[in-house]
Amino acid sequence: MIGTLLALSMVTGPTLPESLRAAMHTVRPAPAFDAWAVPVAKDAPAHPRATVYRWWTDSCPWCTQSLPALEQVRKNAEPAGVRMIAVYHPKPPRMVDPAQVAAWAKAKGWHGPVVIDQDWSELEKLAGPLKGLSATSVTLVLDVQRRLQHAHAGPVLFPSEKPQDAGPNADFLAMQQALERFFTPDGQSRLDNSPAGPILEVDHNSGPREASREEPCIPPSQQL
Amino acid sequence: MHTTITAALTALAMTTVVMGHLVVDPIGDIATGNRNLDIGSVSITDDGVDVFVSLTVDLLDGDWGKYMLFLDFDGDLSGSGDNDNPWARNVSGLSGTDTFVGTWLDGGGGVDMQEYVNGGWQSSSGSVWASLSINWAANSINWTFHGAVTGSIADGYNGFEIEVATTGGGSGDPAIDLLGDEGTQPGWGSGSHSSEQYYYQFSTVPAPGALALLGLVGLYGRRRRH
Repeated sequence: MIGTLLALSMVTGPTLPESLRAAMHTVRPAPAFDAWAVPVAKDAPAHPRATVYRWWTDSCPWCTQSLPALEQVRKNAEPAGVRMIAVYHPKPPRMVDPAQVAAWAKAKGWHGPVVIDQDWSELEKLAGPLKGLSATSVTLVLDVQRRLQHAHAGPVLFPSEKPQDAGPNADFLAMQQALERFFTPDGQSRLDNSPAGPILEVDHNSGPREASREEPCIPPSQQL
Repeated sequence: MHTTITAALTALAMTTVVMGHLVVDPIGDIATGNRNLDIGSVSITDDGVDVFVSLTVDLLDGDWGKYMLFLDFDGDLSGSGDNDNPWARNVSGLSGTDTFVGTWLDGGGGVDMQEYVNGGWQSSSGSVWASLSINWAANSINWTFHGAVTGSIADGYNGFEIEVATTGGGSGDPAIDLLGDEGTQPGWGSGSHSSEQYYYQFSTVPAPGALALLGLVGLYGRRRRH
């Protein structure tokens, strides 16, 4: 039988496209995702100092490498005041079963909250024109004012000491460093003293949306 | 109906013979309207060492789209069971597949090449490897399987059967288009079925000089299963 070899065209994090670069430090529109696949845990801090959105799909090999790495970050980030949300965007855009999406996330090693962006509209809203992106598996970090503080244009980031993984490793470290700026000094959340962050709410008609700071901050997990 | 065009380029002064074969698939024979999944044609050639496969679709999309090659080297003597591929796509009729090649374009693109060994799919560290190039202007995806001819002949195979399919990014997605005469597949949320694969014989079978002298062409045919 013919021998075969897995051949992956390893891609390091590309330079941010101009549209995304121009969006840095600007206030992004409030996202309104289609549904929760996995809600925010009830014991998660209600007022995060920053929110990370990572777009992914179940059959994306880059996500297979990136999500477990981001899950490790999430374990430290969440109690320190940074919320991390995995955003599933089906390819092609279409309706998907939230339960199925939840199972896919778990299989990829992600155990945090998951929302669905079934028509990629929130990706385009937050990251800019899709045609400017070399990958849709982008990661965005928004502060409490929804200003874009860090962006990874995809598709892959993970920690590694291997020379061939220098790009993904550098991107991972940059992401980690960007998030740590939002951590409290002792690594513990100061959320109770922080202004309200971009809390996602679920409207039963339109799906999750980001609450305004004036609205009561009800943990999304209690709204489903 | 598809049309089949066979061309052979032979050069007596050269040590290798390059044969070409093009299978044309009609545009518009899919149920979903996803132009990036609508196969237009597939060509296969080799230079006596490497195999070159080129897939053209109606309109490529850089954000999504998966492309699958199912290769069978020994008929049904071994290989996968029915509806069994490493990407869990819902495509039946391809029992006996020995090598699966999955390709994506987003995120820079890549190739996942796996073989069926000991009852399961696994990436292999064999001598054959694949590289990928994309011609956006021509809406074509081009694979080079390095050492596929020499490696396969060394393993006792003179060619392979192939099916080409397009699909989405979700586990359980069906083939939206299949190369050949299967007809329009049902689309998202349903299964898909391959009933026809093509056989490609390497240009070096028989030896290049003899092949050129004999003027053999059309060694490439199709085989309907079941």
